[in-house]
Amino acid sequence: MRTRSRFLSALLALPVALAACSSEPVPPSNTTPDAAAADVLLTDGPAADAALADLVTPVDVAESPDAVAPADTGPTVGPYPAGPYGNRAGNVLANLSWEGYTNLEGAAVSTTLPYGPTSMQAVRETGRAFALVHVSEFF
Amino acid sequence: MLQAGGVVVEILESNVGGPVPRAQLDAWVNTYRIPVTAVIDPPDENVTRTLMTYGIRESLFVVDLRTMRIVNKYNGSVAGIGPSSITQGVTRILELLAGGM
Repeated sequence: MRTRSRFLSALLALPVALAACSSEPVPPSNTTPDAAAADVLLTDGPAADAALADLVTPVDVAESPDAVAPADTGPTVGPYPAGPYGNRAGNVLANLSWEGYTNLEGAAVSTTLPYGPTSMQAVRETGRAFALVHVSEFF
Repeated sequence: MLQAGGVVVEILESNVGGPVPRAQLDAWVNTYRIPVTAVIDPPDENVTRTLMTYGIRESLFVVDLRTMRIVNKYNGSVAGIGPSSITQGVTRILELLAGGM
């Protein structure tokens, strides 16, 4: 098997430890309509009646926007930059889709990790700042 | 470099000018014990889209992932002569990751 292996030899000589890359989950808000109602100073009168009714009336949690924690969708980097695309310095590199092994930690040979689809947009969504993108060929 | 906040994407873009099957990706990764993201064009699509889009082997792109703009491009020798593209590119990306321009 012959490939461009000098790149890989140099690459393997690099220290490859992973920076912690986490996204803290957003805690659910406890300021639901019910919680807000509990803070109402209950006195006699229509407002008190309404607050009490709210306390005892079943609330469909799914319809209460404050009761639903935002889904953790990971880092948001926005849509892929628009073209025109190119492969020269200063150009915007096109978003391509691939299959293979995503290995951000550098702690294992990549074939020990799951095989699956990925893309340049997925690389963006790692939250990393810069990438080295290298192309090789069998010949 | 990964510790500094970078990412490396290694693309096996052709097999003698044609599409690359998964078995060759696996052999390539295992032979060189590659510890970074390693990918191919989707084999089911039977294409060499990366080759057609990014260009021939031994090209190395330093990419700003916020804008996807190519900050630098390095072309190593396809004949195995002279410095490899990685030798040229690593110093640059480390500068960028350290906040340099």
